[in-house]
Amino acid sequence: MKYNINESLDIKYSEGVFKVEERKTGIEFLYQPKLEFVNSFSPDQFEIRFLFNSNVGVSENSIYQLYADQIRIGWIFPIQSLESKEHDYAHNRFYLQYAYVVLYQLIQRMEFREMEYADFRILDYYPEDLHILVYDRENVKKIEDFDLLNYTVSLFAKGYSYCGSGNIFTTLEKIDRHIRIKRLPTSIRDISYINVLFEELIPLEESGYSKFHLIYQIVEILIEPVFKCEIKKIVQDMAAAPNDLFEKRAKLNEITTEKYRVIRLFNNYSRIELQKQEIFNEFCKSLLENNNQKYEERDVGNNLYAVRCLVVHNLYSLDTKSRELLNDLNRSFLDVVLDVLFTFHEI
Amino acid sequence: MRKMSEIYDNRIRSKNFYFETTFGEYLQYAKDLIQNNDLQRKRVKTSQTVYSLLKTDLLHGCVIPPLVLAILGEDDELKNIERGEELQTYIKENREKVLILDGLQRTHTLIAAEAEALEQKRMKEFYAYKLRLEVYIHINKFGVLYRMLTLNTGQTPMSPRHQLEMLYSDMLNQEIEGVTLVPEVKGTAHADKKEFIFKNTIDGFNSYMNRSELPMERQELLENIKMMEKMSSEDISGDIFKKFLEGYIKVFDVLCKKSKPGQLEKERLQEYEIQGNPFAKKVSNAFSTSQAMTGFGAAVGIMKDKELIDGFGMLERVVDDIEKNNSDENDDWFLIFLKNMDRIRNEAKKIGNAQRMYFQYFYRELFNRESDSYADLCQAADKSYKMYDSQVNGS
Repeated sequence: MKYNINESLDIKYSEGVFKVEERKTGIEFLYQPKLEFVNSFSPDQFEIRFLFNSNVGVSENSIYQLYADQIRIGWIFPIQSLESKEHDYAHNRFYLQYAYVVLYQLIQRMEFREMEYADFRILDYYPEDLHILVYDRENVKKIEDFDLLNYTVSLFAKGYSYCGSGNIFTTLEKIDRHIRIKRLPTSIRDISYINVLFEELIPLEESGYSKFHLIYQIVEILIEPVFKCEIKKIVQDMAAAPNDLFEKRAKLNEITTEKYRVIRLFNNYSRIELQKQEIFNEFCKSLLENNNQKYEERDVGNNLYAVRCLVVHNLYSLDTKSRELLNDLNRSFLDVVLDVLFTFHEI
Repeated sequence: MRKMSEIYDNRIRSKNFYFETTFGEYLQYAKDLIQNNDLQRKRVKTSQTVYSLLKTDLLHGCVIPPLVLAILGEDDELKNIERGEELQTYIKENREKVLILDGLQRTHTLIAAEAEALEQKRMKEFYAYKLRLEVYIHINKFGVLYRMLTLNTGQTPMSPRHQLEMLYSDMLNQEIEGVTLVPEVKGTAHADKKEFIFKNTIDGFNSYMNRSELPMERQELLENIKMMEKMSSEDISGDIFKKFLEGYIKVFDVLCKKSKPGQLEKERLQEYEIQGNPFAKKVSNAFSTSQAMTGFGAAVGIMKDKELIDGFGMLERVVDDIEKNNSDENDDWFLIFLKNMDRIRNEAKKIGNAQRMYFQYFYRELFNRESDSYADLCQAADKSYKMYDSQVNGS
């Protein structure tokens, strides 16, 4: 979601009142917000981003300080909190400093139209379910090569997304007063399409089939570095012991199969929380059983690959029950994939 | 100023005069009418709007729809006025009683056009242009409000909430039933000393008129229509705002009486697992908020529409029953109430609106003779949360 800055605005804040004038049209108005902001920061030193999070339990009080890689960089709060004195931070000086910056920048992005401004509310111009992430450009200099996009997956894991209604799919950990986000592991950090998936596609409500394909893309992406590692190991083995070539050729054939690499990804290249893994495995088994497909009792990688084959090759045969199962499976799949992403490591 | 006709408005029980006057005559007192009331809305300031085109047209003597004025209150002097000149003199001498019901923006534009005519040295010609005026006399505030809303359907209507505030501004610092209405300046309202913030009472009255506890801050034509429908069923003869306030004060008094004086102790809050800052530590503080008054206004309005009560008059009986049914100086009901407020603060997407809704259900439970919670503070505090929760979460 993008709002462009209206360059022709003059905004001043004093004694609790914003005075806004648009030079282009001559429109001016006074706006007295409910909160008494602290205007000690210069708004142009900060960046804001619009996020969504419509999860159960998210409220006007969902106001958090934001830490990226252990460095405090700013805040995330619902836009509602800017027009209310009822939340826990209505008198918190630190919140009010950042809230001022956000409100200033929101006004900067407004399109003016002819209207009565006596009852002006910022929520008349922005969606009420919006959450704002604001960070200090100075603070993020402490993080090497900072780019907020690198934290897209982590924000998603906390419930926030750039489109849709937030991460309403996976189980979310309970947040205390701080949100701590982190980048993906170094070895996969530069694969920009992972961020694109979480930024633009995965948060959207889709049919079960599309959703499965979108999530499976992450697996497709990650089995690529798995393949490279495995090949590297074979080459190293061959250099160290150039005998048993038949066995090595068979191994080479094996690693070229997608199924093998998916199993390796789940078993050797990541660490999935046991409970999540078991739940996901149960969904895979149920779906496969419902469609008379073979499955392994405990091999989640194997079963995921079997589900993938079922969805890709036999989509037409899925009955109503299977389609419902696929929706449940997708939620669990996303849970598991997030664990895979954050624990991915080369061996 | 020439009188063209005189008609009696049977709905708002007021006499309506129709005059033909000139720009010059009107501008002799128009500026004072605008300055009369500092609550009156700011002009829509823009150089590219229809008002700027209107200004140019006015300089060339265009005809605009009649401006509508109202002279508030009863004044014997007005009864004898027959001629236009007499009324003009009366208006000039009693500017503080005159309100612009319709045509505020046009008046602003006329004043701006006058300044330009002065620059262009065309004053004589400009002042002679004709203008039509309607004047209501012997009109009470409710009639003014009703007419304001029925007339005010222009491009930039003032919100009903704002109009109420403007109209009743003379009640600021006045005492009603021992309660003083004070302006919203930090630290001025002491609920214990029987002071209410004027704006909160207006919020409450607005909620009564709209049958909704939500703050009516956006001007939507729909609001006006809804509000007019409700107003049309009201008895025009009395001052409903005053009745609203008197009713609320009775309830407020009995609630304060049925709680311990002073602030709640920390231990009591802990006992009820109330985390962080409670909504209020005293009944008087909780029930002098905008949330409390809007909830009350909406509750009474809704119950009246459902014919569960016949108006503010019945509150006397309810208050007597609350008095009898609940022991004095007992904090339990208030702690249950605060505990629910605490849950709302932690869970609501819009805390303020959720609190208003909870208040609304609280009063409805308390005032409804058919409810098990009738006049029972503990039950009302408890059951109203269940009502709120089922409304919001469907549980």
